[in-house]
Amino acid sequence: MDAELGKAAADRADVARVQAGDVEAFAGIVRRWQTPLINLAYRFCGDRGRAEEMAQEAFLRAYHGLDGYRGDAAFSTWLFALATNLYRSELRRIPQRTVALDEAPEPSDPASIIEAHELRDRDLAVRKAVLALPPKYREAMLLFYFHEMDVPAAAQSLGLPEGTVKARLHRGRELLRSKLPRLLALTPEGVM
Amino acid sequence: MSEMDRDDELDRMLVRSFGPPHAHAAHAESIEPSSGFAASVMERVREEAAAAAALGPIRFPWRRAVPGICMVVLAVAVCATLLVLASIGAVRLASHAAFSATAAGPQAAIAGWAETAMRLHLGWLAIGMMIAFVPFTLSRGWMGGRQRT
Repeated sequence: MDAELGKAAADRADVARVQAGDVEAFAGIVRRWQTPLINLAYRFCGDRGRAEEMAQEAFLRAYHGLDGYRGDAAFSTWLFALATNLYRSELRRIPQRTVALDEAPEPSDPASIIEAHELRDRDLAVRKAVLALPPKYREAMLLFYFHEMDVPAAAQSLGLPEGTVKARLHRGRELLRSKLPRLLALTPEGVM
Repeated sequence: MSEMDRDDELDRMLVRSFGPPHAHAAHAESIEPSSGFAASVMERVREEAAAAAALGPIRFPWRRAVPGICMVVLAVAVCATLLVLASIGAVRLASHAAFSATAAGPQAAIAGWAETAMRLHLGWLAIGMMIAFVPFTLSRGWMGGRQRT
């Protein structure tokens, strides 16, 4: 918690310096937020190189938009909303390579999902199924889990009411459950 | 396996795949920025800051804007004049109808008001507003529906 407060205070100080014309102060913002922003982009596109390009573009937009930031919301909220907006439009412009939801693979033999590397296979199947969801459900799920299952934070990043995000999460889970019934029926505890 | 257990398991799988990088540091899907990433971002920021400084503040294009501004001012003046003239006419007709009503009883009053409404084309005005209102309401309903789902 103290680390978060320290990060917020450092953000406020750097934002004030950049707004006053000190370009180099933006380096502190990049240093603190590069990992979250690249990982968020990676969850959207699943490609490391493209994730870095998208994150770089998000930082440039943040730099240009910083004059308009008045501190009404936390800097992190503002930055995530800006990045999410950019990532969504980037993916609409050049879609990621995904398979259709019906074609997303479920492991052929769920009984074999016992060992650690098979757990990874299972996560991969879930990941592919999520990325194959229609965009509005996919984005709600990505943001919800990226923000540690915090609906208000996901709603702020998406610029949507919380109720809408909850409805999309519910529908997204339904689609996943229908796609991966055997996988969910067979947890590691269930087969032991 | 109950539905709640299935939801919990789905949550665990989704956190592993899509959670924040610090939640599952050992997870393969969490990535670190490449070594030159921050430097490359700052280089571009510096370039853009230098380019913006070289350009200076963007001047307002008065030469292009003046004809448009003149047209808008003229249109507003014409509309305001027409509105004032129409209001004066409406007040005159209404006072005439009110005078007739007090002088000749309720039936004459109704006829007087109807005549006033016809002269001001209030019927057409009401129909026009209703026609405009229907697509407005429908489009709002559709947009609301799209936002909620």
